[in-house]
Amino acid sequence: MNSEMIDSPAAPDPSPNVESLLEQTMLDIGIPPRPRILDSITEETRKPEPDYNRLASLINADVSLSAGLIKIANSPYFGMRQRVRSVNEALMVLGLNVASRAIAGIVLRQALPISPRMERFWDASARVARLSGWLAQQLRVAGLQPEDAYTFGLFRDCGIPILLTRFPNYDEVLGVANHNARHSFTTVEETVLPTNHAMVGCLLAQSWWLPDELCQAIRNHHDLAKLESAEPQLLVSNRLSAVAQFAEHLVQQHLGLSQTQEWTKLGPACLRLLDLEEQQLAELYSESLPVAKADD
Amino acid sequence: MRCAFDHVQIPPGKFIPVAEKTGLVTRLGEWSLLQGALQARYLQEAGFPTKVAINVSRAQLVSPKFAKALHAALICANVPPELIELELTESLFMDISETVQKNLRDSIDTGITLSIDDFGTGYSCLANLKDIPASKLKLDRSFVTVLPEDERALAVVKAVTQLGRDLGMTVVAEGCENTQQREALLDAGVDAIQGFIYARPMPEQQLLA
Repeated sequence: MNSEMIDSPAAPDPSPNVESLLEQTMLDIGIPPRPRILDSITEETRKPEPDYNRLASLINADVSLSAGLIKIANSPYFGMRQRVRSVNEALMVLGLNVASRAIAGIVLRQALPISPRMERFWDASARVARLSGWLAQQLRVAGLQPEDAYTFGLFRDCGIPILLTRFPNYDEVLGVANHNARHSFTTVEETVLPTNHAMVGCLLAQSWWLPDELCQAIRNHHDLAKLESAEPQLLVSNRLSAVAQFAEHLVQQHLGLSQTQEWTKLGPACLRLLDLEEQQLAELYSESLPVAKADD
Repeated sequence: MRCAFDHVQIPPGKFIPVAEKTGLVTRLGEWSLLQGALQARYLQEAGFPTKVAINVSRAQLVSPKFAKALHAALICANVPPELIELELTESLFMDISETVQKNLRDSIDTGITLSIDDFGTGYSCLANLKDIPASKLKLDRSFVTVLPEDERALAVVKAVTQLGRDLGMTVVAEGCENTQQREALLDAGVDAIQGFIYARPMPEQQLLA
């Protein structure tokens, strides 16, 4: 992280809220609770004049949170041109809605266990998230908001770290599921586990009050029948799934990572959901290269 | 489950049908599984390991994903399954399909217990009762509120209590509001009594206070 991006923290807020700002310890509860800072942001957005200073001082109480938010506000792939130096500016530039999504993503990563395995997982998720946001901007598909696409990329697989902590053999299951070209990813998981990461992730997202389309997309993102269904109430969530799946495919191609079988199974359905034609693909492949390779 | 909106409590009889119509009922159900499991976990953490009952509707049990969601909720809350009881409503008796039966078996396999709610009214059917692997039978309040005067109701209470016992279930009477009713129920041999005589529905903070 670039240290110059961190603004000097404001005087610590004496309110008791600060201590409970990030209840990031997982205790023995399986999933991290919804961060209280998100409630504070929601509270402010309901006011006619949101108190940015109050939010900034709450966020500044956590150095990694404030640094992470400023970094996101400065990310060229998050659509911002302006150079941001403080949390207050970041909130202004991003807007409270986008900022709250960005914060949810940062806190999610902080709240789940850290290991070299998890670092690779989060690195991949972050790339998929950025590229999903970028694609949503480029494609301008109805109902697909870039900030939703970005958040979805971060939360899509959040069931995986939770299951990794609970089932010692889950890593092997993932390996098998990633390379199965016939059965859906979750079907393979369910041959070994009583549930699957999409369901666990959906429950986490629901308990964090993420928008309904995001929760639905997390639940269905490996489900071909759902992706191909014509139900109008699934359209937005299906497009979220499609854009992230496409982003993942691009990341794997550009970074020369091992190819999973998801694109083989779901690719055609995803391209239809995004109204993409063959000739647009070549263009997107080349244009997305710097976004996929960027480190932040 | 209750739903509070603008400080007004909306009873499940009002909001569940709306959820069923809008197709939200499956995920509302999954949400309530997780919330119930988290409540049980928090109560346990606070030093009150108490069984938490979660209402489950027929619409949830006909979904092939039900048991997956239940497992996911138990994993997410990291709660011992013994602390969770699923309350099945009598509408379940309408037809107990292969999917429903599999869901019930898979649910039992997680270690949770099942109870049958509102037994004796609506679709409750003895032929299906034997196929539901529940450990608790809750007798509908309509038999209780007319006690102790209504002797015919009392006869039903006694018979169902015996039936439940023979099927290996504990029998609970719902809707007990006064001491005369309680005495009649105890005489009839029920294993437990529920109702406003003990407590009204309340938020968790009040329960812990």
